[in-house]
Amino acid sequence: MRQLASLLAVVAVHFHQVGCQGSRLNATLLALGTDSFSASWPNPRLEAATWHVSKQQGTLAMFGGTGIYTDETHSFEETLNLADFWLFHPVTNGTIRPNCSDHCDPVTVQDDDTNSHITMQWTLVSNLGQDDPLATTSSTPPIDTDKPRGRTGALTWTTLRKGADGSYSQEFWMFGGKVIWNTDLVYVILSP
Amino acid sequence: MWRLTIPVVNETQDVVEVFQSLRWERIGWGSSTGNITAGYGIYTATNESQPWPGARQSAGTWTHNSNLWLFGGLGFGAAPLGDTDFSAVEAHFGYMNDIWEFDTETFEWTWHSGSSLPHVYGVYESDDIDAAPLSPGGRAKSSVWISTLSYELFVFGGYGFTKAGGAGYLDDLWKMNLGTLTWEWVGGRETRPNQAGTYAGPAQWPGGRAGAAALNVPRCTSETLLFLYGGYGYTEDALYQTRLGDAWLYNASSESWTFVVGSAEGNTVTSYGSADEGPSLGGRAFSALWRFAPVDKLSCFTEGGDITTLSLLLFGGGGFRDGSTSEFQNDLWMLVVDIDGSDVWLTVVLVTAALLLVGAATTTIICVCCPRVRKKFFRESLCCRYRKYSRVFDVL
Repeated sequence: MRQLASLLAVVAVHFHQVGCQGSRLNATLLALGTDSFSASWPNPRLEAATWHVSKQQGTLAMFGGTGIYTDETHSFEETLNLADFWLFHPVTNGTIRPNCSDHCDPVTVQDDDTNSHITMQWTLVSNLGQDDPLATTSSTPPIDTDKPRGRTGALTWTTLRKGADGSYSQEFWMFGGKVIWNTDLVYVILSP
Repeated sequence: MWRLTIPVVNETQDVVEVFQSLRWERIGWGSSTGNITAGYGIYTATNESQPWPGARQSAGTWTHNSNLWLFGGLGFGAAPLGDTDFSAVEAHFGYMNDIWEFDTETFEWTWHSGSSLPHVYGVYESDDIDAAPLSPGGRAKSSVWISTLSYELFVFGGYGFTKAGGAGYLDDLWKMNLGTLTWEWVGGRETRPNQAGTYAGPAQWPGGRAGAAALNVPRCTSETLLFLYGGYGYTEDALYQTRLGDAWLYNASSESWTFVVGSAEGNTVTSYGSADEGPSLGGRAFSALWRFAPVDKLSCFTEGGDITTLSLLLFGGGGFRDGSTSEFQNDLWMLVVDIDGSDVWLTVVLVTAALLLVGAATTTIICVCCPRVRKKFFRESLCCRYRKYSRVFDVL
């Protein structure tokens, strides 16, 4: 009993000392953005829909959100519901975009899993969204049947599915969200 | 509902080329006009036989048994079908607390629990067995995560309703058993939303907030952790909600919050650094947050066991930065969280201690109390080796 009591006392002391008090956070700025529309860096936004891409190290996907768009030619700034689809993905030297101008430089990210560095860049995937941030500002936007219209605060999920041949595929799901037709300030919540 | 099906991309394929070849699918019933009220099976459907959730945004989501689940959000509850008068429909618009499941095989929705009407109050505790079951009030933009270890859903804060009064920024924490769908109020305020957090002492707790960047940290040998950064909420002496810049970890094992780093002040400005100082991330809400790792490593059930370092990417959101009046941001930050591995360590200590105790007790019984068994099944040398091991405890 004396042995057991001693051991429990030691464990109790350790238990008292543990917790998350030793947790730390280090925030490192990887890249700034620009307010101007660019095909190689997403414009500023809130409440975008996001997913992870399976089996692709660090690859991320993003759709829409409430964004800001500055047209440098016409000097105006608008708040929009965006409909663009972006990938943030690893690149090799051969696939880094040539002649990249401001704010589209690839980003070097530390990969803690492999203790190495990965070069990443944003790419706009045009067939999965509307590239033009002004495309969905009309009060009577087209009712797309092949692409989701611009939205913010959409609900997202990711699932994996096993096919009949045993291979897996990943599914991104998106439901609802809010449309802001800023020309007449009508707020519409999207249905299933 | 929209679906994008992505084949598994092997290492030799260009992920961008694969995505460029994909197309969205529109799944199941839905309206393209928006502002559609929900069908809970309460009203007689004229043209639809299946239940469906109303149009909504900013609900909590999770997957379970390969199906899609949602909780609450800002949107439309039940209304008589065919009621196209927007003013009437608007009466059914607000903060929901319902739970829905979408079957990914049949594309059908099931309403499991919660109110079919918006703006309901929460039920935090009850001594009356006949009283309404516990449930959080209607809300949106909450932080939601699930624990695969304890089979529970957690919901923290959001904008919505406590047990009384008007809507506000909430700091209550709820958990729901994923099997029984029963709620339990874990902590936080049941009244008085819009309160600041407690940043020091033994009762640390984040203030009321919505739109925080939150992500769960799956673990194998101990409970899930939640990482949370910022959001719109209240600080001490704030008259209005501000963009928060504080980072928190929630440990479900101890049911405790820990303030990791950041500011207790609101609307702190993001700085991109200078010759004298490095960059610093300020208050931020509605940012995009990802775990920087492949999905197949997001599960804790991988080689190496529990993680102790969490790498996150934070993109954009609402906040202020040096030299700009715009609230909208598109900067990219890497957040590296060093998680105290104490839970893992504690588990190892407890398991080791238990094994030592069992081993010591067993060998003592065999060697001392049961000499016949010892002689029959154990060589003397082996038994003595165990006896030496058990003597370690004599010095404790």
